[in-house]
Amino acid sequence: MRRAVAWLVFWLVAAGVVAAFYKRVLWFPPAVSEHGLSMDSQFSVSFLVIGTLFVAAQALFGYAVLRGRGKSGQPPSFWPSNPRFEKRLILAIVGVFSMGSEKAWANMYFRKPSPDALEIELTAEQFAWNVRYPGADGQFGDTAPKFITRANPIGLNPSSRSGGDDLVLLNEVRVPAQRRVRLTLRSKDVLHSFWVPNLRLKQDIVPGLAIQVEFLATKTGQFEIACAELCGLGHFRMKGTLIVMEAQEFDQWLEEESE
Amino acid sequence: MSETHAEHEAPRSFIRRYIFSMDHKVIGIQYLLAMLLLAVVGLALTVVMRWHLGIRTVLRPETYLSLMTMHASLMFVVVTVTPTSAFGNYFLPLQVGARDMAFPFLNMLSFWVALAAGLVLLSSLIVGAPISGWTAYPPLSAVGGVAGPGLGLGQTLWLVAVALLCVSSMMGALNFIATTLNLRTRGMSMMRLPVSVWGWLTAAVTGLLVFPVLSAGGIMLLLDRLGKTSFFVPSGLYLGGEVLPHQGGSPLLWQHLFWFFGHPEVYIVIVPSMCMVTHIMANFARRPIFGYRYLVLSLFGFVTLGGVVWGHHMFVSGMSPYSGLAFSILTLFVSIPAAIFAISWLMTLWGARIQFRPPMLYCLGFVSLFISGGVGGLFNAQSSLDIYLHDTYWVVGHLHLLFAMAAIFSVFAAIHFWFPKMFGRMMNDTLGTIHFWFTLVGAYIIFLTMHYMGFLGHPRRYAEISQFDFLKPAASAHTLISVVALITAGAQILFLFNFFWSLFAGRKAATNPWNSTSLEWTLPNPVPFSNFERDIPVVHRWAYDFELPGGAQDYEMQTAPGPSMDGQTGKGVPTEKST
Amino acid sequence: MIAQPPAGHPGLLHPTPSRGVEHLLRRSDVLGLWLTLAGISMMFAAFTSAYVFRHGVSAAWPVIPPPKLTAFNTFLLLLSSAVLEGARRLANSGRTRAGRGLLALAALLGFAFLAGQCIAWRQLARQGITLDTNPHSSFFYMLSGVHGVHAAGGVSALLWLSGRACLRKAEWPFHAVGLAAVYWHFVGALWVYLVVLLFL
Ligand code: HEM
Ligand SMILES: [Cu+2]
Ligand SMILES: [Cu+2]
Repeated sequence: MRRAVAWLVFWLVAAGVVAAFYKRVLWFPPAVSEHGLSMDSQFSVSFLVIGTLFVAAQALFGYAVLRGRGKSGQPPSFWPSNPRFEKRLILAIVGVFSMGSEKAWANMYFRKPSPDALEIELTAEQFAWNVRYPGADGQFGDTAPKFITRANPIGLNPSSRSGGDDLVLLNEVRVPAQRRVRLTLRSKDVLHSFWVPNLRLKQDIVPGLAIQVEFLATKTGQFEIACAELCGLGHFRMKGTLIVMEAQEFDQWLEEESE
Repeated sequence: MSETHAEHEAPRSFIRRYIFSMDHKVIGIQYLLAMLLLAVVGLALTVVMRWHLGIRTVLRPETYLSLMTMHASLMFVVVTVTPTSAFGNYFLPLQVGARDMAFPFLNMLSFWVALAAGLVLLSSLIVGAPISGWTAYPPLSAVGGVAGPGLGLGQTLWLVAVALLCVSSMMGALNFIATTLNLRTRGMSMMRLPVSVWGWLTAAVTGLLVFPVLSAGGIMLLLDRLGKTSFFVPSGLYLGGEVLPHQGGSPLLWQHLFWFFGHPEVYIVIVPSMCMVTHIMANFARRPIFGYRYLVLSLFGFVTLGGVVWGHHMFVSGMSPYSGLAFSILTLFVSIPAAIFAISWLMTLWGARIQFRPPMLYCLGFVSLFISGGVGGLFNAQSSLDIYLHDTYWVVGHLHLLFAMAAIFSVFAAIHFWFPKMFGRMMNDTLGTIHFWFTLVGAYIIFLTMHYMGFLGHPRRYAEISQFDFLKPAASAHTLISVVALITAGAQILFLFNFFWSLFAGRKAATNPWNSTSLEWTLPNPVPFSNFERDIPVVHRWAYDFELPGGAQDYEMQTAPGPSMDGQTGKGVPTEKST
Repeated sequence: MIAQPPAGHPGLLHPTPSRGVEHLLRRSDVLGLWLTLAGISMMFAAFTSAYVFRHGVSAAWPVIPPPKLTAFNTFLLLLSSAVLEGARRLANSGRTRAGRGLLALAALLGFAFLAGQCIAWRQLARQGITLDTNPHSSFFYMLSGVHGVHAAGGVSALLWLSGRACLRKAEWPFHAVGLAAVYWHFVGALWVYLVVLLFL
């Protein structure tokens, strides 16, 4: 009787925890990007399947151990393993997860660059984010490390024609909601990683490469940008802010800043 | 070369006998004690780190990162070296029936080089340890002091230590492979080897193939630092107010080389651990292990798959998303060999009359931790989910459940199990049991909480969380972890006390205190210098003949003639009459 | 080479009546040697993939001219290998005296190879080509350096063996010379491979 109650409690608690994840009572910071939603649904499925697997495995194992405390020593009449079933189970899990997961992956990476995306360039440096908008001409001016000074943190070439109207900000990325944004990620010094939990977007920034990612923010608000790749002693304070604005508001802001 | 492993007589002088010894048993104990020392230092470092993170901010950020790097590197050495080089050294020759390793001199050299590696690593703590983490990603690790504190001499010493460790591990691997393949006693066919021997062999083969790759990467990184080459350092880095002279290198190249080594490395740690646990568990379940053949097959699976999944550490590194896709699917297949082991454990335990002595408790703890960690791996392996989880505390939790806690539990199991043979005395059961519970519960609280912090999006390697609003909810989790970590670290004193006290005052052990079956338990305590006093016994069965029907005792030693459950009866038994 | 067990001491291993202890020990040496070669091969495989990768990410790939001595050095090393093989075969067919001379010659040729490599490095440096000139020069210096370390190991073994063969004329170290020969051929082949990788 005591044992039966203990089992019941165990399964209830376990089911509760799994359900809490599945139903998103316990969850990540709210998603505010398009691909974030498809990632979250893959997380839900994973919590359900892997959570059940986890609980079942630990429970079977715990049961075997507890039984082993009995003195019977009789060979058991029931064996918990059925190789055929297990083989199928594992292959099914591998199959389901690869399909679901890769769908979410493809959703993010295997899409054509959208032609009308807003272009923003992000140049990371030891412990700050430099943000650049191309200005009215829609063209980024060229840069080179030798031009870097305190007043010119990204090394904009002073004689560049298209660079004159570039807008450079520090630690602040403003984007319109419901419009695709293409980020070009660069680094001046070491590895960094652009990480916005709410966007479900993390991308390492590799000096020497210009890595592009696209996202579409669905909600307005302010979200924190953190650095997720160890970059030195100030790694923990390399903070930026992502400000998602209504489209008109954004256009207005961009115009004002470009003056 | 041959001179070195010629018949050596027992040396008489203290130095040759206990310091520069070529006896595999002495070397095994030297390894064990040296690693115990490194582990204690590594643990002391976490105590400081946890105090800083969860209780009161006491460290400068660079100091925190230095301690973190040193903690990880020391523990990395400990878990890489202990399961194989300490226990394998002592017990592999005994279990296969050999008088020593195939190359005793190389064996001695391998220990002294490993010790040098440990000392060089510690010395980098004194000159200012690097802040680039155990993965030492360039450019941070490649451009010297301009990138931050500890990245000058400290990082160079760190790399030297890694190179020494590579050399030592390769020498060890040669010995393990040659001994297992060539020096088995008669009747000890490969399919009769104790599973532990299979584990050590697998680790050695893996190590022989991947440590050279790490050495290659290490040489290139050293040249980037000292010779101003540009293997890993790209053009135009702007650091310390000037543009660095390097041209055109690729930081991703290091990541590929490092993880081509790094993923198999986790098998070098966990495979011998799993195998020792399997071996010890059968003993206390008094059950033949289930599916021996499949276990051996899945070891081959681990080695092969281990070579093709390294990219799962690089999903968001900037690598091509098509490679990410391939690595993700390949990684999911790792769950097959892992599941085979888990099923074997479950079936071995099912319906067994378990003897709950400390070695068994640690084995059971190992299995539980392994399941938990492996299940976490199923999340990591899905590339789309890993975008969120990568480089967060989730990964820290995952790797500690496996790399750290499970591997250390197997070491605890092995110490308690083999202590009587190594030191002729028993360890205390009560202390062992208390220590087990503290450590298991502590490990789960600490590392499951870290998984939760991963959900919050908490990046790893953060010296403080004060700067971010989204990390506010992590503060109480950090405090919880710190408190539990301090208690758990304190509980390790129980273990250390038990170890050293039993060394001198433990109950004297019988020859075969656990009613065990493999060859080491036929030997008297202490094990004589040439292991087998006169002739080496012939082996007639595998090591898992427990619960034989109709026997007077519930087990048969491997040396006992007669039918066996190993499916090999009649095979490999010597036909020569004369010995 | 293998000391006999002291009287009354049980053998190190389980001798089978037909073959005895020495056979097993030698089998381990041979296995150990091949495993060492496997490890070294993995290292150079890693260097090779690094080379290909690094080449792949570079816009321009200036190639340095091979040092003038390269052909001659390669010839020395291969000749040394051939001479050693000759020594081994002569000794195996019983003519250890002739073998001794060839063994010493092989060692000297190996030594000359190393010296030649040093001179080649200095020639390059005098042309202004150093480790950090460009990625190709970095790879050249690194690969020839790491190869040189392995060759130096082989040369020391050969010197030591020929010393032994001359001092203790009665016994010829068949086993050790056989092992050294395999290693030395490997070092030679490795060098040819590196030259092809770097300059062809
Ligand atoms: C089913 C089995 C497993 C799978 C599918 C798996 C998968 C993964 C993946 C995908 C990562 C990369 C996560 C990231 O950085 O974003 C990872 C990290 C790691 N895993 Fe596992 N894993 C498994 C078992 C193990 C085992 C058995 C060990 C060790 C004993 C282990 C040790 C580690 C370590 C040390 C890291 C972190 C490395 C670092 O970034 O510092 N894993 N695992
Ligand atoms: Cu950063
Ligand atoms: Cu991995």
